[in-house]
Amino acid sequence: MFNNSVHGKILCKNCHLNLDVIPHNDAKKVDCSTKCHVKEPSRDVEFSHGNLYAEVNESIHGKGTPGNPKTFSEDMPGCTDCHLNTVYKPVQGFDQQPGISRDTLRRCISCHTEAEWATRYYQHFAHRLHRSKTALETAKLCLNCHQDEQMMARHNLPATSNYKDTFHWKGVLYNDKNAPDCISCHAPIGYSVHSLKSMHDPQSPVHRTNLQSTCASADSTQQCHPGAVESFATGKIHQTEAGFDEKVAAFVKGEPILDGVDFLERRKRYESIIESEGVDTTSLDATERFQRKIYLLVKYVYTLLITVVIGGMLIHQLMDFYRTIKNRKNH
Amino acid sequence: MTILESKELPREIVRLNKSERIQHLLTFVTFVLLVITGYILRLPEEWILKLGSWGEPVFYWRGIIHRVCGVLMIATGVYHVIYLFACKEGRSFGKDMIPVWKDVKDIIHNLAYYLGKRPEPPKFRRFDYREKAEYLALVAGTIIISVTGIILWSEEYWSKFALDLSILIHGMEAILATLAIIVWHFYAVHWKPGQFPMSKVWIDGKMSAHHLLEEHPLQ
Repeated sequence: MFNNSVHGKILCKNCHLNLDVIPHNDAKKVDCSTKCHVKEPSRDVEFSHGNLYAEVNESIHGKGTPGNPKTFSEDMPGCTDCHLNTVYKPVQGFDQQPGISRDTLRRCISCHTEAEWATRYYQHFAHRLHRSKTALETAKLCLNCHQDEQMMARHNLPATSNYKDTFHWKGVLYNDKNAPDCISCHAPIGYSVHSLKSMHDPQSPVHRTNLQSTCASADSTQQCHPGAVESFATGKIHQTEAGFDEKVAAFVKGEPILDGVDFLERRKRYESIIESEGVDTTSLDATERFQRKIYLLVKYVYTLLITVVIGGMLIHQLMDFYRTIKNRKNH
Repeated sequence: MTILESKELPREIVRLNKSERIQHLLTFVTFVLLVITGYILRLPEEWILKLGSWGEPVFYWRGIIHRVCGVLMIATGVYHVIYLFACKEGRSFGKDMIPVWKDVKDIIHNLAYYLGKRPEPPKFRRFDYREKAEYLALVAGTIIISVTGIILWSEEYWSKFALDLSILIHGMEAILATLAIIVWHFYAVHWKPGQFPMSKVWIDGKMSAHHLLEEHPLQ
């Protein structure tokens, strides 16, 4: 398994430092920012993932500096939380069948006579040209943490299991290649997954000012909403449902969320939360609140309508059935 | 002249003419396909995941069929409106469908009959209150579901709020319509004793004079 992976040719001790003595008492956890003993041929220096490490640390997912760690930094993802040691994915695309392109490899081997090395090197970059995870796998990867309500509450965030209410998720479920997963909107072309920002940061693709172009997604290979009007990109795609915002709000208020999540769950205080939520109450928030009320009202009225109408119909037809049967017996 | 006054009772009477039967057929076929292709989106997640590589074509064709049938259903509606005003038979159809005060009295009378308080059911005209209610619900439902459907189809030009509301209403109306068809319409033409397994009016348009006398004596 490991031999076939991206790192298959790298010795154990190159990543797992202090393996020189047996038994390996002093082995450290793998640190991806370690300088590798592999030389990167374009610049002929030791290869390292260190720059990405720094990039992630500056992003919303960063752990902070040792002197000034973020709160609950232990929740933040490390490299291996997202990157599994990728087994080479068969290349696919354009008019090629999945697998290794013998035609391309033929050109490599004419100079790089070591066939095994050429194949490995070819695959090393070729697998990066294609998405190695399906949209479903990506969504599940992010949801590993982001649907954990307790963890999200610690970071003043709503849990995003409600992404599953969206039509985007339906497309992902049905394996539609055009359906967007998390990355399609949160790190589209021009952004990096390693430097994700808060939605309140103007550099974020889902910041209010960037949303319209993100929805339009003109440069993407996916067909999104190229003609999206401004109001299309308003509102929340991850809908806020009554019931979880209260925990977030409790955290903001400084209530004991860590040991009190379960106890908070039992308390229905949604209305009061709506009122106290307005830390930066702008006119738009008021509209959103109004729209939410309309939405819930329509939902309520329709539920009532369905119950009454269908219930009434059922009673009517049962009475008709009873009377018809009875009349037949009398005839 | 009503049938009762005519000297010779015909054995059968045309209840739905050819145009009406075609309208019913179109509505029936598109409705069933719309229900199927619509509810595919509400299948439990595990079922969808079991589709595996079939998921993508199912999702693709579901969308195409749903839109084609939607357009066809709206076209049938437009055709029906033209029929209502342009044809003689359409005008009489429309006139007979208008709810009148007698319908309210009929409802009370009929419920009393069901409960055993009145010996006889009310004498209905060409369309009784059950049929009028269903027809008007169909008209209202078609308008609501068409408008929200068109909004959802042209999503790029609407605000997220309009789309959220449309999804909600489209889905709720679909539940209402599907259940109403099963409980109300299917009972009247399938389940009801005397009709089972199926009334054939929608195929040949004919109803026996005996049946008509029982259900719509005042026509």
